[in-house]
This record gives sequence, C-alpha cells and structure tokens, in this order.
Amino acid sequence: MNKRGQLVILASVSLMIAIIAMAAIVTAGDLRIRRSQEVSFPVSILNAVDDAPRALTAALSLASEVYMNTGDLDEANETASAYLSSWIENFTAAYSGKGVVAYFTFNIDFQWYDPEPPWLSIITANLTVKAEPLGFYALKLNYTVGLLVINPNVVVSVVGKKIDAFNVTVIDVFKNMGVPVSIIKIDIIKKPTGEGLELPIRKLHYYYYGSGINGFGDFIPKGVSKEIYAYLKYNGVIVCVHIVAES
Amino acid sequence: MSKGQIRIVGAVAALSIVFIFTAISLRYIDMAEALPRRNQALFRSGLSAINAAISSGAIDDFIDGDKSLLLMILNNTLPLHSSFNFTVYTYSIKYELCNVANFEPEVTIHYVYTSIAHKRTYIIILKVAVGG
Repeated sequence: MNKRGQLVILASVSLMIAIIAMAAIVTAGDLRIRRSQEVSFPVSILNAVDDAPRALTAALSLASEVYMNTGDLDEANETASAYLSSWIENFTAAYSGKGVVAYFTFNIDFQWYDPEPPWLSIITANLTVKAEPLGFYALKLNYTVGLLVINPNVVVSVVGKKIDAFNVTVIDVFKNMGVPVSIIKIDIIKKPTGEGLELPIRKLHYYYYGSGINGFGDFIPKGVSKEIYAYLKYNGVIVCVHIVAES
Repeated sequence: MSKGQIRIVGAVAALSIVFIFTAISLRYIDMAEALPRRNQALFRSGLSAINAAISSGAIDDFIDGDKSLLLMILNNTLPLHSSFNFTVYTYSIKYELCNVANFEPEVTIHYVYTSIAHKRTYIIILKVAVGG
C-alpha cells in the first residue's frame, strides 16, 4: 500500500461507499417523511366524511318514497338499510387493502300526518370509520339529514270554509338552511257538500319567498274542503304536511 | 510503461470512478426527492378535480351522457399536458373518459361518490400522468 495510485483508489472506494450510504440515509429519511405525510392526508377518511351526508340523503330519499307509497315504516327502514349496506360495500371496495372499515347505525323518523307542526323526514346516523393503518382507531361522526317543516301560515276564508293558501317554512336540517321545494302531490279530504263529487285542483300557485318560506295558494274549490295533505320534495327527500282548516 | 505513468493512469482511473459514482449517487438522491413531490402535487390536483366535478354536478351530467363539463374541469384542474383516465363505475355500469388511450399512471385516486340525483353510489377512479 505504498503506491499513491492504490491510495487514491482506496480513497475513491471509501468515498463511493460514503456517498452510497448517504444516499441510502437520505432516501430512508425521505420515505419516512412521505409516510408521515400519508398519515396526515388520509383520503379514505376525508371521502367517508364528505360522502356520508350524500349517502344518507339518498337513503332517506328512497325510504321516504317507500313510506309515501306504503305507509310502512319497517319497509322504509329496510330500504334505507339496504342502500347504506351497498354504500359500505362500495367504500370497502374502493379502499380494499388499506385496512379501512366503515359502517353506519341509523334511525329514520317520519312525522307527516299530525295536524300540528313540525312535520319532518329525518335520518339520524352514526358513522364509524376504523383506519388503524392511518392512525384512526375509531372515528365516530354523527349526522342528522332530512327536512323539517315549521311555521305554517294557513289562510282560511271564514265564509265557505275553504283553504285559500298556506305558507310553510322548509329547512334542510343538515345544512341548517331554508330551501325551496317541489310538489309531488296534494291530497284533498273532501267534505260532503256533494258526495262523490270530483274536486279537480283548480289552479295551483306556488311561490317561493326565500329563506325556506314556500307558499301555495288558490287550489281548492270554494266551500267544500277542510284538510289537505301536501307531499313536498327537496333533494329527493319527501315530506308531507297535513293542513287542517279551521273555520 | 514507467512507474510514474502507472501512477498517473491509476490516479485518473480512481478519479473517474469517484466522479461516475458521485454522479450516479446524486442522480439517485435527486430522483428519490423529486418524484414523490411531483406525485403529491399531482395527487392534490387529482383530488381537486374530483371535488370540483362532484360539487359542480359534472359527474351526474357525465353519467347522463354529457361529458363537456367534466372534460373542462379535468383540463383546467390537472397540470398542463396531463394524461388522464376518469372512470365512474357501479356494479354493472361503467363510464369512462380519457384523453390518451394508454399511459402509465403516476397517480391513481379512488373516491366513493353518492349521486343524490341517481340515488346510487359510484366508485370514481382517476389515473393521471404528466406528459403521458
């Protein structure tokens, strides 16, 4: 080892080993940083939190349709349950292999036929997301999604006992804001000034005043009706209001 | 060849080895740092594109057969010269939109989307690469 050339070769080999070691250390550090960033950016968790209200709205929408057609709360619950199960299947499929598990527990409530407000179609749910590889042992979130109808303003003409118009305030419970609705159908309970008499809806006027105040008017023939059931819809969710006219 | 010449050749060879390995090492270090950063930026762009598509209703339009809004969002949200493949599927139905037929994706994002209008849950898969 007394020749300079050998010394230089030895030095270069040492330097090379040092550089490779340095590169390995930097890479390992970079990988660690990347993994820590993955922990702080868990898409699956964000996705569950973001999509859960939409899934609950769709489930409630389907359940409210079933409830309107059958009046069977159990069947409505089963419909919502089946839909939410399919959501879980899709979520599991999308994040398969990442150790992320999600599930819902929920309760549906329809208050449609009381003569007094509030009327409502609501689903309250608890979403649990377990994502241990991402550092979430069990993330639990509560959601309340649906429609709440309050403040009816029924205008009744005293002479002839007809319902001229009514205003209701419809609130999207999840967003906590008033919303406009569309009309699915209006059922009229006829009073017997003429049994068997067909009572066509004369002309329906709908007004949206803003702030969730929806107005309906001029739709019942004079002097014959006392009660109406109005089925209203927003974002696919149906709610029914039961207006009783008092003379 | 004299002793001095051998030493010079040995020294030159040694230095060459040092330079070559240094260059290789530096390139390795550069790749190790640069690629993840680029992927992270691309991942965020992809996620922004998906969120924009969801909030604007572009995915519902796309499912209904109108791809124009989704295409505009992808073209404007993803980096310039990106190749993308946007797939929306459910059990039996699959909708696909891409600007390049075949490419090696740098980033693949999975996202679950519930369409209130269609009362269905879909899985979105967005594959993106810059340059294609």
